[in-house]
Amino acid sequence: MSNELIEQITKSDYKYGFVTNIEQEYAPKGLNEDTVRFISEKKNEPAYMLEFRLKAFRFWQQMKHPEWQKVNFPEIDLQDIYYYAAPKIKSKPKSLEEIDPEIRDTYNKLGIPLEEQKLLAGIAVDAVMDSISVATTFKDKLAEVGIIFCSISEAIQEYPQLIKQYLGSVVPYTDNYYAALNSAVFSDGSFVYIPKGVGCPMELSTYFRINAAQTGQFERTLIIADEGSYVSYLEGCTAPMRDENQLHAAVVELYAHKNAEIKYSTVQNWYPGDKEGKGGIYNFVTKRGLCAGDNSKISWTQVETGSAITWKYPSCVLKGNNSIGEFYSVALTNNYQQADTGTKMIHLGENTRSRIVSKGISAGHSDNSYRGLVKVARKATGARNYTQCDSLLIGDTCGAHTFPYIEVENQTAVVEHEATTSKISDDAIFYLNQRGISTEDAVGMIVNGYAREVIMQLPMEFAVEAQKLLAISLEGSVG
Amino acid sequence: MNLIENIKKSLSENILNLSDLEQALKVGLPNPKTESWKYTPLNFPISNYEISTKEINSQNIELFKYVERFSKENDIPLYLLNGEILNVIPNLTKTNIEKQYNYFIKDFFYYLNQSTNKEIYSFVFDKSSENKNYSFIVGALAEDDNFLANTSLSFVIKKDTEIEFDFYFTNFTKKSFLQNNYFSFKLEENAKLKINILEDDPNQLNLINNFYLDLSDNSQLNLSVFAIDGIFTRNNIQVDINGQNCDALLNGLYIGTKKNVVDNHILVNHNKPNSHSNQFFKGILEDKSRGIFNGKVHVKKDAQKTNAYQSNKNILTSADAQIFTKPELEIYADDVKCSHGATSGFLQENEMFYLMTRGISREQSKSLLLKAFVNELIQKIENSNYVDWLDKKIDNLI
Repeated sequence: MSNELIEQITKSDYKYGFVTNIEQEYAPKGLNEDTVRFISEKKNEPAYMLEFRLKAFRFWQQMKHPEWQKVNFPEIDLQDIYYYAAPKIKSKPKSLEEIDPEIRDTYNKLGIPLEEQKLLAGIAVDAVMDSISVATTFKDKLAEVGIIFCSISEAIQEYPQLIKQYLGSVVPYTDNYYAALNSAVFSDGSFVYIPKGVGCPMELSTYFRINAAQTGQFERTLIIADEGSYVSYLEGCTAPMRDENQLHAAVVELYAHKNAEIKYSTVQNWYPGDKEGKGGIYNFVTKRGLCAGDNSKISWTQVETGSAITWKYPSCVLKGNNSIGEFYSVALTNNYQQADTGTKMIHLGENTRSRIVSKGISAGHSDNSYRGLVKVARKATGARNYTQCDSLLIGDTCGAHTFPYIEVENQTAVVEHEATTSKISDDAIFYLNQRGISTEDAVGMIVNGYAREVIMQLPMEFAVEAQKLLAISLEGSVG
Repeated sequence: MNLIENIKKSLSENILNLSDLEQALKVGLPNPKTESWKYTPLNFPISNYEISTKEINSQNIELFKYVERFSKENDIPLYLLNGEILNVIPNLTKTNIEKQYNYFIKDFFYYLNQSTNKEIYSFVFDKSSENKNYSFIVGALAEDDNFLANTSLSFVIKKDTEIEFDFYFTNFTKKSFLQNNYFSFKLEENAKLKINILEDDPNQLNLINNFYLDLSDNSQLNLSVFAIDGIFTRNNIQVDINGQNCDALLNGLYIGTKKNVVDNHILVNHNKPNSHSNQFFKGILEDKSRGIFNGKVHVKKDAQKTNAYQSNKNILTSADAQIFTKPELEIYADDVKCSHGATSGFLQENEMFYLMTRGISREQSKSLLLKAFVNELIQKIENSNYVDWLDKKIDNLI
């Protein structure tokens, strides 16, 4: 492929880069115990939550920033960030009509069907702007079958029992630097509880948007699937174009009981920075699922095209016997984006199975790493893992790396890992050219074909979006 | 640390590099937080070791028995016992250490090695040295327990020369012994080098082996490493491909028994285009042993048209055996073909069943299957004497 074409594909623009002009309410800049107390007070939280936050904060203060990652960024000045920024809402909206029209416009621009009439697609949405949840749709309908789907602040007020039991049970605040920070200052997020034996009748979805400047978004998602239940959950993210780097440090916890299944899909399209690598979101997220009960299943699907830096490892802890963990990922980096992503599969129970399919695509000057851990503990008899991680390089200025860790302590385990690295072959391009397809389209097609195995795992609406996203993100990068 | 004090005491200052000893103290022993030693516990009491200053009894019978077993015609052996060269072979010179050794990772063991070697022996092989078998027998004949030997050698294979080396690492006594070895090889244009490394010690050997290989244009390397016995074995093998059209084949077999630790750290740097490398490692972990494999391929930006492959397969035969494997790729060029694979498994019941229905005992079926697993590697060695001898050895183990 010609260099011009590479140039072209790497030069597309970010279309979600607008700013919504709404009044925001901020916490004082900087991070100290007062900030933590301020957030807790602002949200009118019960005492146990404040205690949780303060414990996390004190622990965090003793921690050092990790150094092992293969992404480079200047030290983040955590004192120069607003830890709480919320769109000013006078009182809690009763219905969608009461939501600030500016906010509604924002979500309309993003194509999120906030308004009920658009919900024919059958997706219940929880929209989070900056730090707080602005609207949750379809709540009543879900409540009929006993499903709780609300913002986490609401859950803290109304379901303290569940929060006390599950918050921090999968990702404790001691887990890592950013998880501790999140536990101290998290502002909002989604909460889902699926009761025993209920299959959630629709896809649940959250849309995250960072709007205010100089803020960090620290959301927290907690999904609990009780015995024999099923839920499919989608997450999407966008942010305005800004010259500065913004921090997004979320924690997502999934908890699957006996025979339960959780499917978590992400299409991540945070602002990736401009062509010179200026600005963009730092996406440092801790995502982990616990298959606590026997025969439970957790499946992660992610399409990562945005963020200046993506640094996350959605993981599964397979504690229950016969539990299953899955991880499907497409990570595309372009221009000066960096990604260090992958998964951890921790096999603890007997006959546990896991499957990892990771597809990395690097273009421009980007760096894309897969880092994964497959651990089979001593007691995990009959564990099985299959890992496939492929990398595709477009142009000679990018890098693709794989760091798979395999730890086996049980003789009956069967663990397989295979990986390949290659470029888009000239034959394939030529073949498509011959049939009248332009080189740029051909690259889009080949990349989509390459990522198909993962995209197929997404719910239909998301799959279409993801396909388009891949093509757009690659625009101007053909090589 | 005791070790450093012991060394200071036993050796006079004109042999020692004191600054290196201090540096070793400063760097400190690797611990589980050091990424390259994450899974490798130092399962021997390193701080009790000291340098042997006693005369070597070169008439030791064990030594000759050992050599007899595989000696061939045209054999030119070189004995390196307790870190000293016993006999002299042609092509030997002494050089200043500094020029040779700046590519090794500067960790505790590096400084430890440097501290007792102000000069190193270097060998130059040219056309006239072809068609001979060079064997390097690196071992211990210490009379007392807990001896440390630091060995450093450097080799240059001249243009168009084809040569084969056999390395044997062992211990002829029942005393606990630590070898800390650094070997560097420079392959000039069109040179061909074949190295067979055997790490085998039924007694108490702790082994840290560092091999550095520098490849020039059109050179070929074929390295096989058999780590089949030893309490602690650590191999650091680094290949720098600094020329075009090179071929680097790295084969390895490791067998862990008892409570042994066996660790292979391989790094292949592709610095120039059009070369090929292949890493092929297999391991059998028995009893309470622990195996570690870390293979890394680094392809630089200019190294287009590189083909690099890596494969690591393991079998665990006991509930207490462990394997930690990490096949890494780091790639900065787009027109390359790279792949890696790693598996860990156990003996398949259906395969065992198949053999047993044919009247083969369970034990025999097991060793038959394991034998088939390792044969792929053993058969890569052309020297039939060596193969037979190795075959028997492995038979005894599995």
